Amino acid sequence: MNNRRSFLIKSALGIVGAGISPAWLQGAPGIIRNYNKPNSKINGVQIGCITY
Amino acid sequence: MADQSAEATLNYVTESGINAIELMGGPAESFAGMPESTIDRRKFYQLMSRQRRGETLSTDESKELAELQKESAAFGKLVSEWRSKTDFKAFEKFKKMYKDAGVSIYAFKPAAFGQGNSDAEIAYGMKAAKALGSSHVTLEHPSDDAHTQKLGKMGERHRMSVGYHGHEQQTFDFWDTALAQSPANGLNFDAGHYIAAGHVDIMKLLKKQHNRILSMHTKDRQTPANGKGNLPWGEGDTPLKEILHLIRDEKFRFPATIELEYQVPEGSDAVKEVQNCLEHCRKLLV
Repeated sequence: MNNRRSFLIKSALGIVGAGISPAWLQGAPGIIRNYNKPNSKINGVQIGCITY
Repeated sequence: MADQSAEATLNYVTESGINAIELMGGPAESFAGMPESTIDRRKFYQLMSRQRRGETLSTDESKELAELQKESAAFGKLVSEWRSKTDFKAFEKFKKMYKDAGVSIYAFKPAAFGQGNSDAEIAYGMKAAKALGSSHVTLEHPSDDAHTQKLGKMGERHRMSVGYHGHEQQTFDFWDTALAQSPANGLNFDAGHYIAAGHVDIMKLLKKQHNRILSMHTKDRQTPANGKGNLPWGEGDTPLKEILHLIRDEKFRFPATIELEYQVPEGSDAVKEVQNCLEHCRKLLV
């Protein structure tokens, strides 16, 4: 089955696979890679915290 | 926070909105399989500090302290043995788990760099820091020139910087000897304690030492005239706005580390308070 429908299914499966494979995101633009991740660098100043 | 596991610590950090940390030894070392201590540390430190203050301990308390000291020495030996056989892959795995969640580890602070630790343990701490992706390790300034010399030289060999932390004993030239001893030695400066010590030259210090400051503990303390309190951010005397603006405007590269030391208000918790500190920084910097 090598048609448009098959292509769409394979693409969709690829995207689902990518979703569970963080390595896939390594080449993606920063905005995608960092989606839903914390960011405490404010105007060039890295704010961190000590863990205890 | 009660649960100090690697996973729980990561959750606290991400929930706080923080993406870079100074990591205490516990979460990473327990993740890597370090034996757990069964010593009543609270009791131990309480008795030790009373003895140090010159208080007379009762016979039972003296006996208990001696027992705890014996247990502590035995545990230290156990830890030392474990560290000598550590597989650093566990620390790399820890780093990856944090990195995948968006958190980098810029400093590592295990209890491995004191005068009582062997060279092998110091080397272990530096190798573990490297595996975690840290640029530096931190410890309390030992006030021992021979020890800062040794740590600096070992830092050079292991390509790991060493940041010395201070409390109210910090002065303008507190780190000068260590800095002269090795390029690997640096400051793990504490801005809040410096203010509580009564110094008025903090901006001058930051301008002078910014290239050697590896990271800066940040909190809002009061001057001695105002009682040296450790307060929610914005209520103390630490010039947080001026400090953060200086870092921003001069493009200084060291991170400002939130160190939550004020009393957590009723109904709140450490995560919520770190969020508040971060929000305070955001308001000052945007």
